[in-house]
Amino acid sequence: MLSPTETLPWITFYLGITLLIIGSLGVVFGPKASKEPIIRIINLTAANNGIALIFLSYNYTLAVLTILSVNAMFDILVFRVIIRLEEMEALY
Amino acid sequence: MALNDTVVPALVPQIFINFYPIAIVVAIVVAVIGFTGLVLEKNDFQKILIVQIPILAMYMIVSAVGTDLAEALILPGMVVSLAELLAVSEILISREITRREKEGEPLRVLNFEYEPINMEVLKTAIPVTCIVSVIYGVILTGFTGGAVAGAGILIYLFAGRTKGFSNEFWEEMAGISGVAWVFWLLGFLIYFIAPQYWLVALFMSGGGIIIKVALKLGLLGILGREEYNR
Repeated sequence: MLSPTETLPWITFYLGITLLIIGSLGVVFGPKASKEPIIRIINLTAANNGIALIFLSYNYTLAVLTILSVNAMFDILVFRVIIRLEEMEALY
Repeated sequence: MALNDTVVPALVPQIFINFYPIAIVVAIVVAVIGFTGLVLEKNDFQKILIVQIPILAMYMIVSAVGTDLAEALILPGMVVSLAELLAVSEILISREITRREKEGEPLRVLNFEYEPINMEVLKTAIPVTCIVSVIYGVILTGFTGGAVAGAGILIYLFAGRTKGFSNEFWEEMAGISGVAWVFWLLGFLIYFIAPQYWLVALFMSGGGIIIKVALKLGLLGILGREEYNR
């Protein structure tokens, strides 16, 4: 039986946990992650979407909206730093 | 379960109480993974990226409470972590610059050569998106409204043609942001000193926080513009 108060939070919660653990493992131990920061940022997006799904299962509307927008601003800021450090050849 | 009638208030649904031990265990596992990576990594910039994983674990521990209090604690945490990232990245960049100046190495500057795409939608859609999101943000008010309006200003500053406004204008806007913050504080003060004027206090703090958050997000746009249009 599919019920909006029992089944759907259950699905989103466990999906979010899976995405969070896989994403954090990818950020830390992922292939080529220690050489290329962009791969790390992409893996971080998976973990961030996992936590957004967990917030969704707890009915935190504002938290879901805020973490999605904060994720986008995070990417803008980090890419700016990558470009500046790459100009000075100081990234690695 | 013993948790049900003693610690947890009755308004938390049973499913969130069932989630609680799982959420705490998973958050601890994620935090251990994140700190392991932090120990293994040597590069400072890569550490900034890995630090986000313990932050996510912290969000998860707070959200396991399952009430509105958790949401109220999570929202400022996210915005503060963004400001923290901004400050730490500025420190990293300026440290590299001072190191170069001390060693006498010339700063290499990459020139991005590009041809602007001539499309109708790029000229007309950006101001409309900005105006719509600012108006919607003003209707929402408060923290979320500030974020929505600020995102609109950010889009305009990043992508739009900023003809009408000079840099001095945006610096004055930053001053207004400080004044709005004072209004927010005064609103909170009135709540405690004179609770009978609660409506004035509500409007002062609500209006103050929307102006402050929106203009702070606009500052990010100014930063990006000065960066790329040198």
